[in-house]
Amino acid sequence: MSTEANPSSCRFPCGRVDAVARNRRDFLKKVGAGFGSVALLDLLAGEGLLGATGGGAPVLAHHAPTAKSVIWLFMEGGPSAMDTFDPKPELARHDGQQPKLPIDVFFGSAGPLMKSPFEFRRHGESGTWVCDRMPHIARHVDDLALIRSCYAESPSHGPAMYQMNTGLIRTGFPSVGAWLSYGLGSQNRNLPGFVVLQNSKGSKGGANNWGSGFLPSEFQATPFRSKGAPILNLNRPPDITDERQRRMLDLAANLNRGHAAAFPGESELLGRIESYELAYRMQTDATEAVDFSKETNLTKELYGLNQEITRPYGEKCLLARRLVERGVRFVQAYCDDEWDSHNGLKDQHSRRMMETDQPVAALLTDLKQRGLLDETLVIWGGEFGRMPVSEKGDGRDHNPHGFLVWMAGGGIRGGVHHGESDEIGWKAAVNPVSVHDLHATILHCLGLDHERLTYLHNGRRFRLTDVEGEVIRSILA
Amino acid sequence: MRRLLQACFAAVALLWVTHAESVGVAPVSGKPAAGAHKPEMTVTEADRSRWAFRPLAEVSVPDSGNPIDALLLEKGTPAPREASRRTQIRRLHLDLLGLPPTPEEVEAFERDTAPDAYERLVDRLLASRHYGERWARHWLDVARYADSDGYEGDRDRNEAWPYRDWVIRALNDDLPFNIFVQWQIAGDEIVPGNPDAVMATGFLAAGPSQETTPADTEENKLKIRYDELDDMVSTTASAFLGLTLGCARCHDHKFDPLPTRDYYRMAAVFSTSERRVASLSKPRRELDLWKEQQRAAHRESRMTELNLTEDQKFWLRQPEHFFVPIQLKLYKEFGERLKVDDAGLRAWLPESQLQVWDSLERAASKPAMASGLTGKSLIVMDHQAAPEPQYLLARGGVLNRKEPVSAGFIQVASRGKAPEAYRDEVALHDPLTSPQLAAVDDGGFTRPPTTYQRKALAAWLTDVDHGAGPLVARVIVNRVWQHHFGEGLVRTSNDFGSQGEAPTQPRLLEWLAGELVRGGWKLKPLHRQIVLSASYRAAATPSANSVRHPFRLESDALRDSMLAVSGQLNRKMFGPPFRPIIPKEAMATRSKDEYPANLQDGPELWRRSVYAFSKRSVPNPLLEVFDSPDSSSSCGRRNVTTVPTQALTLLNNEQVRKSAVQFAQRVITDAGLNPEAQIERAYRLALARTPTADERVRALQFLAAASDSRGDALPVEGLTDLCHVLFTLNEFIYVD
Repeated sequence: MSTEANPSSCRFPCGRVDAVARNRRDFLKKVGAGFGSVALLDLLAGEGLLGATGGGAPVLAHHAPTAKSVIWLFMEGGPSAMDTFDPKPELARHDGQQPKLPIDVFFGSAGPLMKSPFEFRRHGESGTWVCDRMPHIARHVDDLALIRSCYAESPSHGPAMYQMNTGLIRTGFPSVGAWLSYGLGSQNRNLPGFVVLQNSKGSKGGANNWGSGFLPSEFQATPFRSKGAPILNLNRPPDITDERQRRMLDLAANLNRGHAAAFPGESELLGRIESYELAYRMQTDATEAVDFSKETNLTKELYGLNQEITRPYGEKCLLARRLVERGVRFVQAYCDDEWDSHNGLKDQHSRRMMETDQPVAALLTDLKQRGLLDETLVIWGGEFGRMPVSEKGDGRDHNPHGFLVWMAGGGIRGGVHHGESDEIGWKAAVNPVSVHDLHATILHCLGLDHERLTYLHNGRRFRLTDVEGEVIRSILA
Repeated sequence: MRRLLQACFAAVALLWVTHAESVGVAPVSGKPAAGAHKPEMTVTEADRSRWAFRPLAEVSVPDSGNPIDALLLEKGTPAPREASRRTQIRRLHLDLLGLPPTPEEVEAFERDTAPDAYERLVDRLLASRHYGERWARHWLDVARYADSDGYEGDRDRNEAWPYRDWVIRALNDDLPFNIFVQWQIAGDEIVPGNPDAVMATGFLAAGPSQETTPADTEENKLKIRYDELDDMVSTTASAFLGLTLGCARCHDHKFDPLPTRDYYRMAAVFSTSERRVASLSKPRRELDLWKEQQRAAHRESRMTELNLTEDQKFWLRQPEHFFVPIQLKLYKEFGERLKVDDAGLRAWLPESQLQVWDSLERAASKPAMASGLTGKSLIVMDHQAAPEPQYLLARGGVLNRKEPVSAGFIQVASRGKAPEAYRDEVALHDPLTSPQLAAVDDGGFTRPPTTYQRKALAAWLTDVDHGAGPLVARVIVNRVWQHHFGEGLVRTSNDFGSQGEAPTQPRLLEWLAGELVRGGWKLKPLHRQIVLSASYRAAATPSANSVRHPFRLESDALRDSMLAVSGQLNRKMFGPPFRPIIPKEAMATRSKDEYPANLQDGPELWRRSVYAFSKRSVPNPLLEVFDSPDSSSSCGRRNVTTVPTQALTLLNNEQVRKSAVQFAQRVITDAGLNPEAQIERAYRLALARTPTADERVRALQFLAAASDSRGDALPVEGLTDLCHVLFTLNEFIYVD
């Protein structure tokens, strides 16, 4: 992929290769080294025609990628770093004392410093500290890279969610998953390239968190339902055969193309045409993808599907694995209950950890045993962290100044730490990492240069990382 | 124990009075409160001069032509090409009524060559009863309306719909928008004798609410109450003022000149307001009262039978929600045995009483008013005449009372008139004697003592000279524009603050707002002015300057259009909502009132979507997938997503398929068995036009292929598939 391509020959202003507009030979000529070519050749061999690819065709990466897909375990609400993976002895030492500097809490009143209610132990060869409420993830620490110095720009859930997902605290910008779908296309013509497994209570900020912003609408996420069946209407009406439905779709596609021709530049109309083809193929493939019946009991137990408390997130983690296994590029799995512990942090965080610890660890184990961890970037984190001082006696307020995100899998060096927050865990202190830096790193692992993945909109070449962002090299394998 | 309780009551009452007095004289100081970290935000004249808050400016427009076009053209917009007549009528119907035109209507319009044909069409549509249904849906989004409580319990609200009906009637009657605003805030205080006005306060009650339980601590109960107030304050600010005042609950607004003090002064306006379910018709109230008396008599006799002590009887006579441990224990033990349903009561009552009952019932079931309301309504009322003490809470902590505040309004939208002046003014006018707009007073509703605080707020909101009138006018004309063009002049229609976007056409926005006020706040003339403009009538073009782009029908309009085209649409208006069929696999959630399974399909379920029961925890997947808002908070602009799950819905959803089957039946009834005639009819029904030659050929091939592949297949199957295809077309789903 090249930003130097002549935009006039492409549908995409960044110069992204538009496979639909090119013949197969031209396209193959562009295919060079890297996984993209392998995946692409496989796809071409298997499917023949490129033009029908739903969600865009795969294109060349800027450099050799280290991951094919992303699973983002989104801990919505803001998990506390000092109560999970980043213990702060100074907090324990000064528990109950007023902080030296006034702490800018968001809600309620700033209380005194509050030590973690949890015990920590070192684990693995890396000797990484983990809270004793996460015994399962603790066994994987040598695969994790902890980024302990993250910071964001908003102390408010909505804007912070937007920033973590799109880079900016305002709405209207494409999400990471949309940028990746736009840049790399889908690896599977029969499933959406970008899937969101939703928070059953609804995420703060809603669909804007996984929208395509000004990118063509085909790149937005397909949200799966969080209650009941993940996708409805996968079965054809009983009276319609496959043959009949295919004929209906062909007629509709033909008529729709005629209609769209009258409105050049309306990408939504084109996106909807694509969505029918994808929907048609999803009837078979998505039905199979969301069906757990072929999973062994052992696997189901591994993810905790046999226990009330772990089942909801366990199902999402298992579904995430099944989706990336089938070529879905980007899966976000939002936890059902938020980490937003303004009071009773001990109880609330304990519960969140009990709900997610085993499923998350199971995902890492499972990906590894299937050889998928090397090509899947796993991200764990929320939209911000929590304050070192107490709120309402036993809770913690939002803290965008210093929080923790970990990554694992494709291209990530395990057992390392990057950056530090200050001694009480308030602000990022050593090697601060912005949200743009996180995004740059994600794109890098997928073989994309965040400075070169651009889209011309309103006369400006926009990118996911705005005008900032540096890849966190120290955590790369 | 009883005496203790009575003493408590007295103490609480005394407390209220003392606080109320002290609040009345509490100075409102602009100085930083003691103990605050930061100095309190002050609102300056510079803040008031921002475009959103300024007084309405005079905008000069040329004498001839539609001023909208003149103002849009100012920025160099080329004169737009007019859309085809077919596009214009389809656009107008979907836009004003939310339903497509019938082939006959299209034909009549295409044949009507009189110069005022379009104008007459506009007037006819604005007078249609479906106009109110269409535009009420837009407003119900803003009002975060639903038919259940939300939260975990999510109890059904079977008395919420009268508010929905009121919105529809108010829009159809073109109730001036300033009155529309006032009644929703304080109809019960302004025209207590008019059930319509009282019903309008359903706006304040429409938000989600959380049940308190005996297990809740005092702090939790207080928090739940503050959340309720927050819902009223935030929704009022979003809906009428386009401001995110909710942000100021815990801190001065980070971006807009909205100090926390403004938030709590607004909260104080509602501090004595409560949700109530009230009978707004006199016969119904009489019936309810009588039944309540009979129930009490029944309970007394039952308690005597059970040999209860006087003390036990006392506790069991108290309303059940009055949580006292001893009462809970007694209720647990005897509650079930004391309950009686209507049938039980009838069995217990002597024959003579049954006759009284029946005659009361007959009187109550007669529609007493224009509204046709015979039952109960969810409304909001004050519970006392004295304002309740209200506090500025430090950082939103419900126990962190910083200082008392009295009711007040948003400073940045106020000019030279204090909240107290509004309150004194409104309290002076006795609403019972000279209400300008008092409609039918059936004497059905006696207003309890009230603080008039909401009435003062209503006056301030619609005061163009000293209050928020200019902002309220700008916000509503922008909403109207947004629904006509797919995008507002201010794109962030619920945020006119600095985090929102500036108007793309400030002079046009200003002129429209001025016109609204000058025209007596009537919305229909505003619609008329807009849809008569050349800019509105223009063809959608890809030009960057064009104001017209194809935009997708909202979920409701899409469903209603399918029903209309298939001939299923049941045009019954008003009344209790119907419950749409929701597949079991979409309902894996628990609430205290379960959503019914095994619903029977039928005409009652083919009513317009605005009449569908909206349960917060069980969204209707057919509407949800097309971006219906979740009604947790005010929604000024729906998402427009394009995802394959929408395509799956249109391909496979049972309701969609059923409509396709009905559509095909209708085509056969209308056009007979000739395939060419069928295709012609189907196109005209669904797309308001005849097929092109090419489309005709393709459709014929499609029908032929369908019967070929089936051999002995019935031709109706192919036709059904063709009708189904029409539902999936972008041309059907989008308004161009």
